[in-house]
Amino acid sequence: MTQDYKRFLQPDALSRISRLEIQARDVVEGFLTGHHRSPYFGQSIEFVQHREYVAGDDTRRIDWKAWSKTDKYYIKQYEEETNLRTTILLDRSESMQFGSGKTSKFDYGCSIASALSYLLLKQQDAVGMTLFDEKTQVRIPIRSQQNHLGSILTVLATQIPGEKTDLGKVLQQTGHEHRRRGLIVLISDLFGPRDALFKGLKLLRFLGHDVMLFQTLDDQEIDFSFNGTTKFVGLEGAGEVTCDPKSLRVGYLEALEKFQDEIRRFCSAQMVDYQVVRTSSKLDAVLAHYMKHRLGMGVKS
Amino acid sequence: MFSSFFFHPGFLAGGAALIAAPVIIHLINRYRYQRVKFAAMEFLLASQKRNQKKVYFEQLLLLLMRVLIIASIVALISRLMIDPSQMALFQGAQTHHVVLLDDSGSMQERVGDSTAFDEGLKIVEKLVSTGSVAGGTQKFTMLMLSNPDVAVADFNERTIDESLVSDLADMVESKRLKCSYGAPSYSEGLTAVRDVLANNPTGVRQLHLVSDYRKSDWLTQTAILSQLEELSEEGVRVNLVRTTEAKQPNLGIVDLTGMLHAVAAGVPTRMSVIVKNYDEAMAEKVKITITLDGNQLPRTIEIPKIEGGQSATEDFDLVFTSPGIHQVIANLETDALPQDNERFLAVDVGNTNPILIIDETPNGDEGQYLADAISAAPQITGFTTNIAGVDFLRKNSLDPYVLIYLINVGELPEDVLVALDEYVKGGGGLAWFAGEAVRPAYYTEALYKGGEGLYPVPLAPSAQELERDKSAEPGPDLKLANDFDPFKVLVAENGLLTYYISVFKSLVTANDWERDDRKRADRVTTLASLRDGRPIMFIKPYGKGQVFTSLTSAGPMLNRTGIRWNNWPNDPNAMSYTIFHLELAQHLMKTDRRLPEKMVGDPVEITLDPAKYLEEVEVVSPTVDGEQTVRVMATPLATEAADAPEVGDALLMAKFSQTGYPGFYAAKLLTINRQVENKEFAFNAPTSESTLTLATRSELVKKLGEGSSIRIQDAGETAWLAPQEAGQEVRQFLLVLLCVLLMAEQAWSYRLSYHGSGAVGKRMGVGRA
Repeated sequence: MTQDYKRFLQPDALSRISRLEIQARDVVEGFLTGHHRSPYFGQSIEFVQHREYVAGDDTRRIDWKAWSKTDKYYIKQYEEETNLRTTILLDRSESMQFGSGKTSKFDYGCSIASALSYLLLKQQDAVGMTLFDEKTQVRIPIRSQQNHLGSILTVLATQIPGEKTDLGKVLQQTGHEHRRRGLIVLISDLFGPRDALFKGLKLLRFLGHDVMLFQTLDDQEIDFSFNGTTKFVGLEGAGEVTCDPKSLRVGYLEALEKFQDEIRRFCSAQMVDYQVVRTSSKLDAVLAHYMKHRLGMGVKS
Repeated sequence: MFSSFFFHPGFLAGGAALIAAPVIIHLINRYRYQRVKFAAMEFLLASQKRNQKKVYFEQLLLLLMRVLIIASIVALISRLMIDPSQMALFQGAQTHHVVLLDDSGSMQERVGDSTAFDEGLKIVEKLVSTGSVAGGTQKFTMLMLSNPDVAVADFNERTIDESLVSDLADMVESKRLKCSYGAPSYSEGLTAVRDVLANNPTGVRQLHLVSDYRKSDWLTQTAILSQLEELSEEGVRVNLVRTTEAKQPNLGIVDLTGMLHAVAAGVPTRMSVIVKNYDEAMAEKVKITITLDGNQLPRTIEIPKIEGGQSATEDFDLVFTSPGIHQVIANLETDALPQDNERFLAVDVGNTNPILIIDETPNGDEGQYLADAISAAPQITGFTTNIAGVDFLRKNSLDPYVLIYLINVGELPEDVLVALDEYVKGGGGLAWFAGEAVRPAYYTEALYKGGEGLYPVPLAPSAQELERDKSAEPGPDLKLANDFDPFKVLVAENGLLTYYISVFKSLVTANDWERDDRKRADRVTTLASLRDGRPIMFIKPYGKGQVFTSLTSAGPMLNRTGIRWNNWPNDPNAMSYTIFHLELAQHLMKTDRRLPEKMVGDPVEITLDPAKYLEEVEVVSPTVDGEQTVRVMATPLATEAADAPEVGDALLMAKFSQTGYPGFYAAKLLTINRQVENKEFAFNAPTSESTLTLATRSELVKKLGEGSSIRIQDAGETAWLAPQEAGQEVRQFLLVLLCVLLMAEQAWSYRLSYHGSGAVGKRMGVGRA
């Protein structure tokens, strides 16, 4: 399992992340600590309520007194002092399986998710994760403990993409499940019906969430530099085309650009942070963008 | 259908099948692709929908290029023969080789063991032999320059194949193709070539002009080059093929002649042989042998030296022992060109040449002076004379006489005038001399007849005396023309021989008669004039004969008062009188006594009077293999012909044209009494063919112009004979096309084809379908 962690947190990436940690801490702590009371629940002195235990909860937090009376596991919840609750939504559909180089889009998405989780946990922020395709397949609760990263990486290492996407449904579900305001990070190629996507994003924004959109694309999807007669077989059952790619390249790029423009315009209108990420680019660029976004959140507040 | 456009049509069937290969490969390639599982299909499908036609066109273009590549390779292997400029493929044409072989006399020049003509034949054989490889796709026509209007044997637009090669070889081996001795016209030859090529205007047309290219023809006659350029501009590929490059010395006999007008049996005749040195270097000790009637004379004539480019004349005496026809041949030693080393001369030797003198002087003195001058020694001069009155003309035939003098004749009866008219028109000579009996008015009216009669000038009413010049140096009374042959001896040495001739009296031309020959333009030539400018002697052609007229007397002619007309006959200082009359007689005498000299190629034409001769004429002619006898039937003479005799309505003409070989041609005429009359003709080769100096390649190129498309092939050069003319340009074109197609196909297919980087395939399951 240790080996699998390294799939997503390569040493050089971790090194870069460590350097970022200082900056991140400055950003997070300097910006939020002592300025306001957190509206979210967390682990602190002041008790708030009980909640039924779910797998993954820290067993130390089980209220054994309540168990002795009710014979059920309950977790004691306290008023939280953490700064941020972040939910990472990672697309694990079949289309994310594509990758012209060593890294598929899903692998790269996992790396983003891992790095963000590491950074957030380092900053004592709470992070949770949802892996989805046409529905939510795995949900990792939001935690701020340092060992929570292990749970996240374990889950990521066992995932194999393979179903169709239904972004709209997943986003709506997320909205319903995460009533408390926080940061929603969506990592996906966004290939799917635009209307459903936009509808889901609108809901999240309506619920007060900050939303970051990392559209993960492969180099070939962006550049479309295939050579020779090629039979393209669509993932997620999108049909087949046998053609000379060069003859279709211009048309393809135009269609892609139109698609991205559409998203960009929507995100701009809804104040959703939208970032296209190449699978060949370095992770620190993604994190830098995230940090920029955090600064932006402070301004918006 | 198209097999005639290929040297190797056997490859066509296989080639056609190969053309299907690109289609098959193309279809296979459509199913040979990399397979990629792809996520962004939405955009790809949208692009495909938009670019479907473009993709289809690109694929079709690739397929077309591959088909063209195979077609080009097949065309190259099968040796496609088309002229791209004319697209002859679509006109059903072949290559037509027309060979114009120069068989003029100069082509007999010896080149080693061969001749220039034989070398030309070898080139033609090679051309045909090479062309036969093309598998019957080429045609061949062969013309000889001496007879260009008719193709040689059956070599007229004949397909070049093995049978043609064999036939030509047989013809060459059996020596049936012979070089002529004449000087045929290149212009006529090229006109004939043009006609031949005009019959078949399509396809590749080639003219091979095989010749020795002598400077005298090719650097001086611009018309030849103009005709060649015209042919070239009409699309005919012109090849000037040289048969020899050798520069060899040559001597040739340009003339064999003599004082033949008055030749008579037993009379020594002064003969002359003229030899020309055609080389630039001097020739020494040039030996000439003379053969008379088949017997070589023991004496050899030797000319010590002849400068380069110059001629030398050597005289010798020849005695014809008997009357009749004699054959004289002059021979030079063998050199590069044999045909001009022989010169033939046929001489019809009579006993004497009779001259009739009609003298109306009362005592006959005038005629006697003349007779003494002409026939004092018939064994030397060959002339005999007969002095008679006008009545003689009425009672006797004039045919035996070579010349008639009319001295001091007052009037002539009408029937005599008719007889004289026929005599002169038939070639006889007539000489008028004035005298006291001459009545000018009659001469003007009845004999001059406005310029149409036998007398050349109109006369003033009376004779006139010439005033004497009493100065210390009065000058000659008589001024003779320098350019009249009989006067050449007399005017020599500033006219010393005629200086002392005194003319005292003469008739005078009419006052209104124009004295300037050029202005008058009536064919009457003034030969002499008096000191005061009066013209006194004239000559005029009349029919086939000539009329000479003197306005002064033939003899001393004393008038009633004792005044002489001139002192020419009897003045001691006037020795020129005899010379004058002998020269004049030789000039005026009936020309049919001279046996005609002809050049090879000229026809033998004999006019026959059916009242005297049968229509069948036997001609004995020389050939390479000996003599041959041919019977020729005379046909009615076309009276509208310009040179037709004006006498007789039903004259016949016997014509013999096979006179290509120099030598003696004998014609035997049969009289209606079955008597045989012989005529003899000497045929010689033209001296124009003796100049062997060749035009060099650079001279020809300069003459043609640097930009000319006419090609010049040097002697011995055979590379041009390679069977490439018809298809050469096509091959070059096809090779260029093939290279372009291959490069375009490579670029295009590289653009369209898979160059397996592998990364995508390996990672994403790329593979072959």
